[in-house]
Formats: sequence, C-alpha cells, structure tokens
Amino acid sequence: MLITQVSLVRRSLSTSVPRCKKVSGRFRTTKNRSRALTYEMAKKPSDIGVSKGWNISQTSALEGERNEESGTTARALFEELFVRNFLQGTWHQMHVFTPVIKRRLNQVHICLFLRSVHGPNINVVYFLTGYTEQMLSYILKCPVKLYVQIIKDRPVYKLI
Amino acid sequence: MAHFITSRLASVCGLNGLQSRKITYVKSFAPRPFIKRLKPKKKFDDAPGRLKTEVGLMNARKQIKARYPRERKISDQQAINWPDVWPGWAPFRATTVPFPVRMGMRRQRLRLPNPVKYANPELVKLPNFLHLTPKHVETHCDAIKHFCTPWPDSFDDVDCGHYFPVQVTSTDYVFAGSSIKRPEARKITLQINLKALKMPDETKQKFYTLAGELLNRDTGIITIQVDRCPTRKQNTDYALYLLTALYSESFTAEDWESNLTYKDMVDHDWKVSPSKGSVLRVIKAVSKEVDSTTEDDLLQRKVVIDYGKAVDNLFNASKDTDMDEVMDNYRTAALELMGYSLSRRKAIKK
Repeated sequence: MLITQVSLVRRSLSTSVPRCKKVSGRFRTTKNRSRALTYEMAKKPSDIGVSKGWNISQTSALEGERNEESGTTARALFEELFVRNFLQGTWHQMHVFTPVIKRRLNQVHICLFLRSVHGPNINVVYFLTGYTEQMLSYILKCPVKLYVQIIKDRPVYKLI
Repeated sequence: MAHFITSRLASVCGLNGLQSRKITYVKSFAPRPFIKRLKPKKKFDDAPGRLKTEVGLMNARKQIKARYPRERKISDQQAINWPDVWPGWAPFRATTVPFPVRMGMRRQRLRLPNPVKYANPELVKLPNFLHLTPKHVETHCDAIKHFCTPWPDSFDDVDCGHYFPVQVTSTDYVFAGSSIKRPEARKITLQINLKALKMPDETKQKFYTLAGELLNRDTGIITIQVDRCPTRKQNTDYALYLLTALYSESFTAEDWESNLTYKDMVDHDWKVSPSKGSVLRVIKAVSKEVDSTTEDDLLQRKVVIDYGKAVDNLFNASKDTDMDEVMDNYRTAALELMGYSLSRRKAIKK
C-alpha cells in the first residue's frame, strides 16, 4: 500500500493578507468636519517636492561631498533632530509650524513661527531667543541665528 | 485672519446637501482661552526672581501683540530704497515685504482659501533673493568702484603668457557644515608653455624624453599635478622644483647619449635615419658627377635639405596637421631630388 499523501508538520506564523495602505502623514477624517488642517498638514508626504517644501536646506547630501571619513550627512541629520527636539522643549506650546532650518556655510539659520500666547510677555521671547542661539551654537559648534515671526493663529486650509 | 477664512469657507462650501447632518465648525486652532487667577497669591508671586502675573484677562491677551506690520506703514519713497529695508539675507517676512505674494497649490479654487503670504511657512522654506535686487548690486558696486582701477588695455593674453608663463591652479572648497577642513584643497596643477623655456634643439629632445606624459606635444603645455605634501604651499614648491629639475637635467649631456641610435629618437631626425644613407646612394647613382663631390657637399645641397625636412614633417605629423599638405610637400621634395621639377615635367608633356 502506497502512502500517497505526506503531511509535513511545520512551525510557522499564521498570517493574513497584508493590507497595503499608506497611512503616514495623513489625518483621519471626522464625521462632522471638525478637524482643521493647515496647508502643511493637508498635503501628503508624496507631495513633498511637488506642492510642499523641505523643512531643512543643507548641502551635505550632494554628490562629491566627502562622507567616508567624517560622516557629514549622518551628522547633519542627527543635529537636525536634536535641534528640533531642543526647540520643541524650549518654545513649548508657543511654536506653530515645524521650524525651518537652513544651513549656509558655517551658519545655521532657524526660522520659527510663534503664536501669541497668553501669559508670558515679550521679554520671555527675547530671553528664549538668546538662550536658544547661545546653547545651540555651543552644541553645534556653528553660529546659530534664530528668526522669530509672531502670528495670531495658524490659517485653516482644509476641514476634515 | 482665521475667522475670515472660515466664514468664507462656510459660505462657499456648498452645504445644501448636508443639511440633515449636524455640523459644528471649528473657528480656529486657538485653544480655549487660559483664564488667569484674578487675585495673585502673594507669597508665591512676590518671591524674588519670578514674573509677576498680570491681573485680568484683557491685559493677559495684550502681552504678545503682533506688531503693526511695517508694510502698511512703509511709504513709496522708503520702498524704493529697498536696500535700506532689506539689507542682508533674511528669511521671508510677510510683514516687511510690501507686495502681495501667494504660495501654495489649491486645485479647488472655490473651496480652498487663498494661500496668502501671512503665516505661510512655504515661503520661508524657499530661498529668496530680496537681498540681491539690482538696486542692491548697484549700491555694492558703487561702494567698491572707487577702489578699483580699469584693466590695462594693452595687457592681453599674449602679454600674460609672456610675463606670467607659470600658471598654478588650486581649488578652494565651500561646505555647509561645522568643519571647514578639505583635504582636496592641497592639490595643485602647475602649467607652463614650452615656448617659455629656452632650449636648443638637442636639449629639447632630451626634455621630451624626460617629460614624457607631462608634456602635451600638440599644445606645448607642460602640466604637473602635485598633491603629495600636506599643504598647498609645499605642493607648489615641489612642483616648481620638479620643473627646475626637468629643465636642468635636459641640459646635462651624459657620455652615453652620443651613442643614441635612430630608434632612441623621440622626434624623427632625418640626419640619423636610414633614409639619409639611401638618399646619398640614389643621388650618386642618378647624378653624373662621380666621386668628386663629398658627402658633406651633397648634404648641404638645398634639394637634399628640403627632402630631409619633408621626411621629418611626415614622421612628426600630429593629429591636427593637414596630411594632404605634408604629402604634397614630400612629393615635390622627392621629385626634385630625383631631378624632376613639376614645372619642367609639365613643360615636357606639352
């Protein structure tokens, strides 16, 4: 008698068909359109370079830039993340949009939008600007300049 | 600003089809107003080094007030003098730029708001050249002009080559980062034209052999690239030393150089070539003068010298030379050597 059927015993993960859906950088719609989005929030990540700009401008990723010895692209990225964290903590609840970082030659220019906040007065803004510039220039070893613009509120682009 | 946009949106959104749903509109992003204590706690607030909190909601709201935008105050006269308003590089400031700018894509023009310059980070992300308008360039140039003198007209390329024969090229690098070190910046290229070096023909041959690939025979430019030393100055010094060594070495004649054969020559030299021997044999065979003339006399004949030059041109021709001309020259020289001149031949034919 021939054994026609051989059942192999295997240990494997039980999986389902993957749901290929892009969810990054997108906001879920509400039933009553109560979610307000700015222009930046409304545009998807695929629109970067098309209808949305870059938050950081630097030249460390260009062709021919030496990266083998000093790892300059990695360092620039790391510093950018640090700067954003620092700004988020220093200007807590006051900043409006993602800060725009521009690197030109030795300098780092940071463009910040602030919201007029009830409570602290303008002296606090001056102090924090000086504090940010000093601290960041010591940490990054570059001259850091902060450009602050105070606006009333974020403009609503889309309601979701 | 936010209120204006949302009210317009509400009117334009076309809500007729959504009447059945209860819709609540968000007016702005502002959080609910933070209402301060009306009576501050004395012990806490009077402590040294602390900010005294303002009493009352109205005062609290006024604390960071947006400045009156300069663009509304600016007069036409002031705006015309733009370099004073925007002296150096600065990120785009909506309240200083006096003209309206829109930045942002909206496919649904009726439904979406006008992407004005106020509170528009897209404009800040882009590079702007408001610090380099024609007026700026004019002002900068005018400031520097009286320090400059005009370029001397008589000093053209020929003179430059004559008075400054040695050209040293180096590259400076610019990098946006914390380190300004560039190891590639120490590399230099030294160039000099062969015409600037005065050498008799024999030393030139030796120079060609020594220089090898450093010399471009078509253009006559000697190129020396150096990057073996750590600094740029050291590299230039080394390059000049190499050039000097090349030049002086080509003048020193070794004993064994007199034993050079036809195959050692860089350029074809007819006087050492086997062609010379065969030409002398041919002349002796063709001409009717027998043995009375010596070899030296034969070699000094114009016909023979011309033939020698023609053969040299044929062998020494580079890519750019017109081969038709060279071949023609050789043809006439050869025929004249044999005793035939083309004009005589044509006369005979007739």
